[in-house]
Amino acid sequence: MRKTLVGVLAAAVLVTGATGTALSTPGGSGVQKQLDGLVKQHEFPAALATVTEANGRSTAYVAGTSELGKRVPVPKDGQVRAGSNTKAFVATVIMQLVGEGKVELDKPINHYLPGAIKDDRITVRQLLNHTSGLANYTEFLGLEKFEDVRHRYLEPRELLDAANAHPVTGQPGEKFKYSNTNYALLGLLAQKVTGRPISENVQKRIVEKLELRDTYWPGVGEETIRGKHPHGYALTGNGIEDVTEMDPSWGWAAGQIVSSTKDLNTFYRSLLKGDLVKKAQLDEMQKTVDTKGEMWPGVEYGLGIASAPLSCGGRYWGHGGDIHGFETRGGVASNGKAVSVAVTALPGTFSDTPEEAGKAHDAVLAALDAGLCGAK
Amino acid sequence: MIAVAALTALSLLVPQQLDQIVQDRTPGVEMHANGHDYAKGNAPHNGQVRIGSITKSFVAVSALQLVGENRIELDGPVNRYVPHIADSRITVRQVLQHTSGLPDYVLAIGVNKIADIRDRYFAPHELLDAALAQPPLFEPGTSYQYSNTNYVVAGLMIQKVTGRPIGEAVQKVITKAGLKDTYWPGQGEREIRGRHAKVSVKADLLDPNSQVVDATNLDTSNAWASGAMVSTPQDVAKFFRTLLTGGLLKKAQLDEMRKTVQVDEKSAYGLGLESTKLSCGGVSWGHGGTIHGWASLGAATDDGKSAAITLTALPGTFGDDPMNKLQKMSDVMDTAFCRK
Repeated sequence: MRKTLVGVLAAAVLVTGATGTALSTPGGSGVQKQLDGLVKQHEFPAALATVTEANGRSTAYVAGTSELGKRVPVPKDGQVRAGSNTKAFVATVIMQLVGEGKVELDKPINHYLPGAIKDDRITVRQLLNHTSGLANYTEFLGLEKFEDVRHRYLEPRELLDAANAHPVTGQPGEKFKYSNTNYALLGLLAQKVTGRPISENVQKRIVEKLELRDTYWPGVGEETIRGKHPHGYALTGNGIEDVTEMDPSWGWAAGQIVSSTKDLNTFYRSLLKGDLVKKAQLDEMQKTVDTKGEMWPGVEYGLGIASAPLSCGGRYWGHGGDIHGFETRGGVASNGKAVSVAVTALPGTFSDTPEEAGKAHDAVLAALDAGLCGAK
Repeated sequence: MIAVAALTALSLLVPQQLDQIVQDRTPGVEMHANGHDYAKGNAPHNGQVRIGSITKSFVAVSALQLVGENRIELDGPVNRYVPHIADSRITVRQVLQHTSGLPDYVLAIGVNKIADIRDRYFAPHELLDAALAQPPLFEPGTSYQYSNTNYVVAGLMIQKVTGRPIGEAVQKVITKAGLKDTYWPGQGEREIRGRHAKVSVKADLLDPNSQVVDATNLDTSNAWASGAMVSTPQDVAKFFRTLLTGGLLKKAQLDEMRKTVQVDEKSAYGLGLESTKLSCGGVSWGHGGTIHGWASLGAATDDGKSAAITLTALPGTFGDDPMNKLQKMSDVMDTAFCRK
């Protein structure tokens, strides 16, 4: 069965071993070749990547077409729905608030949001690193029939209500279990503590500070993508559909943001350099838990950022995102080089088997690896 | 000759009454009456204003449009749409008519102190939570008590039924009425978009001795579906005129909107619409709205007259007698409807 992914739920279907085979091709040409392969072999309508060197210079690559069935050039650094990369932005806001003394990592979330969840033991840290055991609300919104939910506006509270109506998946702190509910709560936490919308917090504290020109939090009810962008496609009850326009309110603090591969590089580079949070908070963000079976192989999850191994040794830090129409993978290596890759459908959209879907996801990771491990 | 005399009476009497308002320590007033704009003091002609609770009339129209489309049952339990309301006896009609007994949230979240709420974003459910933490005012349907909570519930109901944000649902009403200067502020938006007066408010609405502070920029998420909108006197007048002449609702729903409960000897409340007895006989149909810095009335009559007035400070802000000032507002509206 084809599987729609929500969040960075690279569920079991996608966990199929080592990354691709083209890792030996050095530098930019390797990235281009990988993108071409994503389009030709794995049928993604478009693939985009941006490589940002340690010195800050960026090179953008594209392959495929912006619109399925037509030959429409893909805009370099075009805007994409960044899905769960939103979590890294929200985590950054929370860690700034920790640095400002307004939030304590090991305090229960119910201390800040009385009665928000049943279990008074669950801490802010457990939300940030997905060890809360809270049920994942995206499993209960009917997203498998995306055509029914696509244009629906949901209040953040409705997301929380959906999670609270279902049993927990584990005890607080027991194990890593990816749940979008954690970040819905963190969004509410940021709003409660600052008295401002989470969208405004992200805008003022990150987007404006880093001058990210292609990153924004869609407004209430906003369904289109503002800037130049490739179209995104998903498998719905109507077949393969252009789902570029959608109401991302169901993603909210777990996945609402629009960004670009270039902006994501700037964001992760700045974050990991310590430009967005203090050292003590960055250190906390990089304390990881094992994600065995929940993400792709080798991934360790910190506080809103994750690290994964590179074929050339070392690890990169980023997050990635999966939302109907768009998958993004990316991060920054220890040498300061950052790469982000985006494809305009989730793996599995054009595949007939879980194995093919897994290979398509591997190929996205291989493109990222080629960029981060290439020469220069 | 008679026509000329009538025109003269209206065109002189209204400005005179508006002059009296600004002479009595109100910084400014703007008005639209039967096709004419008036402005005194610091108010621009037909400037944008925060209409506060007149928002309720827009929300009620949106709800009744959905009733007309058979998507909301007027006498069905409101918790069919907003499950957070525990009492299944509370109907949609009771919510729209303030006969639900749901307690008001406004003082519970501290809206009386502008410094605490001017820059504070509230999610709609925070307003509802604050209300539901209090005991009900009375058994559903047994009494009338104006409570802003009712319209937060109505807003959530509309969102649930349409699957779209309340601002988008109300925009359909705005568009249908052909209003150009009326909008639902975006999330976190604190400035007024168009030409507008600067307005003032007591730092604490519950403390007559508190100092007067600026209230122009305000995050109206604390009012949401009970009072967040921005409009102009022209647009408010046009809205009520269009509503009353059947341009926004089917007859059946407009009739429901005008089934009232008595509020006092002069006024009665329907569904987001209030009737006020006129000195010349008959009634006007409209709504009032007060929010930090602004006090408004808007209404229309069955024969197609319409008027709206807004003050750029709440009555009582600068030591004027609030009851007297509200009466003066009401008197100008009466002039607009009764003097030909």
